[in-house]
Amino acid sequence: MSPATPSAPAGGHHPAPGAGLPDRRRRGLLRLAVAAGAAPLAAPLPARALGQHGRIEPPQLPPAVALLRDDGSRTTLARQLEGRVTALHFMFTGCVSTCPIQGAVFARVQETLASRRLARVQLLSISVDALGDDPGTLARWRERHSAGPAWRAAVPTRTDVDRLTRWAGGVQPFAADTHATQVLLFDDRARFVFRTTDLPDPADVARLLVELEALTRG
Amino acid sequence: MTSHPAPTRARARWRRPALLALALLGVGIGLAAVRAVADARLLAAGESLFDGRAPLVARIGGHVDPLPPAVVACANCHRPAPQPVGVALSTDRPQEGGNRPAGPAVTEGGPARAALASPGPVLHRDLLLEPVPRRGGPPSRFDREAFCRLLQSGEDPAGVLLPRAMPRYDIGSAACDALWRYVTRS
Repeated sequence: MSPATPSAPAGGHHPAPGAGLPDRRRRGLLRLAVAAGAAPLAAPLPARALGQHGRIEPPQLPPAVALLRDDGSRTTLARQLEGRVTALHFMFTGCVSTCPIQGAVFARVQETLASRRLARVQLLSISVDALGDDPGTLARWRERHSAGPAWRAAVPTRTDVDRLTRWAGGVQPFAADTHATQVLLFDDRARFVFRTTDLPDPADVARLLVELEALTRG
Repeated sequence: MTSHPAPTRARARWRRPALLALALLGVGIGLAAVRAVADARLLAAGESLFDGRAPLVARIGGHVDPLPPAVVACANCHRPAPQPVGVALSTDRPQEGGNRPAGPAVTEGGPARAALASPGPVLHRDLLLEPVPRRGGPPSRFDREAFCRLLQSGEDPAGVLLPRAMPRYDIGSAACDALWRYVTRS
């Protein structure tokens, strides 16, 4: 594993893809890009603007964000991410349009990964509705989608929601009244390493998680 | 030999055509009633498909497997006509990945909250049948075929592809007829 990479400043310089990474790891990340149908993304990809997808180079640490989880406990995003490979999406429980589809995608990912028993893989639903969501609604969201113990849900404070979604959206922030439907992948050092397309195929998300888990295990 | 009075003969002369007219009227009324019943059934079937009581099979473009029927119901993203009082017509331009976090849970707040959070266009006959610019394309109008093509392929009448969040439906002709009848009802 390479050491944790600090979050690059907005609009900052991006080194060549894979720079500073061992060959094996660089090949692994390229495989991830290909697995997501992102072969052209072997070229440098800032992966900052909403709508772009592919690997994040260099990997970025998320902002410090406090989370209230579906079980009522408090933690931070970093603590929730560390030690596990994570697929994260933004949602809110009051959403009846795309969020149920996002939930169905995660449910299928969970189902696909069930037989592999990957203890270090987790799914994370982060609500963008700090006013409307609480542990109760998040617990019901998990129940609605038959979420297992490796699929958590949490909501940041209102201020942190803005910071987190702006960070995740990069230079072009998410619109105030919308949220993206991409899945963000984090390695076991809580670093943002890959962004999928909007509403990705569950099979692709599962495959990416398996590959990322194998990379970080090695 | 007896002779009928003139009025009786006149009545006899008109009886047959009158009976024929009555029979035709009866047949007409009967056919209209049959048509009305069939139309009511079509509308009901369309409404069931729209609000998810009757399942639809659909997937996100590029996905291998279909999604659960409950998450691809039209009503999750679209309001049917008529408009609820006090809610303005939205533009016919769905939000990309559209969701509006706005406080209390929609799923727990009933149809009124769902309506306020609907990211898709209102499916109103005027918006469908009149030439309207959609998604940045030139003015276009739907007919039954264009509507069904959009559901199946995600392509609108002007050839503009809908956002990825709009599922692609495996919908047959009869179901499409019912949905089209429902969304274009007066």
